[in-house]
Amino acid sequence: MTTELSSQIVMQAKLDQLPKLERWVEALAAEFVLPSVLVHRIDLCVTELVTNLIGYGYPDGAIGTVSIHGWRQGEQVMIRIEDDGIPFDPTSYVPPGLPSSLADAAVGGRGIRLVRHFTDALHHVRTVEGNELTLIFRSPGAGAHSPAASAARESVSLDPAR
Amino acid sequence: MELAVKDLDSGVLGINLSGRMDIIGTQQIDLKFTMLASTRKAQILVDLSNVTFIASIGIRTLVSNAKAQKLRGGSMVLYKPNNQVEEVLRATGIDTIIPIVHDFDAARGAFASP
Repeated sequence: MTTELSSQIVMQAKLDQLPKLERWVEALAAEFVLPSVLVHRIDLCVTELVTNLIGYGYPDGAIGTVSIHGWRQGEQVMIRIEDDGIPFDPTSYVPPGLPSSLADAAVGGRGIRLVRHFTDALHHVRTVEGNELTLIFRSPGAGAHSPAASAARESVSLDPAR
Repeated sequence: MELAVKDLDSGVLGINLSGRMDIIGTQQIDLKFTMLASTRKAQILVDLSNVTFIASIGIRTLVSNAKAQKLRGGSMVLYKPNNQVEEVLRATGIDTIIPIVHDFDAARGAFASP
């Protein structure tokens, strides 16, 4: 499958780099001509994952490097996040259940739930350096968890033709 | 992010938030928000209409303060989030534990039956 459009950012895993990430998503959205609903989903998921990585990916205090590559294939957008942090597979992480009352609600722990909710598929690979996580988004029209989206998961190529 | 306070009718304290509620934005308002929303019993209306984006760290601040306010015998409602912010709140079930309202009548109703 031919990759139509491609964009990449390499950044340090530091909080002060997040505005740079936000600007990269904005530029990608303009270049790929993405609808605002999809842009929001991508923005939310990469923000959650990179924030998580900064907070927990480097317990030894090292400043890591994150490389994020986005590409579009037809109506699908792939975002691949590669890091050099400790192993973490969000596809096998089970988020806490939804709260039944305010008193019972956990204060935090909602980031990975959001990522799983707002992506159509997630693929994690443990690499020599760290983690490689690929997020797949379908353009609005087919819902995030619709049968069409499920079918699309089977046919998508995870290999960007660089 | 920015935070502004507005005394509303019926003794309701309005806290207007604006900007991007990611970790950087949330850190900018978190201390002031907690001082206003958690340190005394009150009916708090958090105006989210100018919040352009919310991440889980922003939800953490809302939940933490709503829980603290409930322990004091008060309550909190979330007012007029935009569609994208509301979608994020609903995806995490926040609407079932902190009322989301889009007009003052609904807010008054929520405060009357916390």
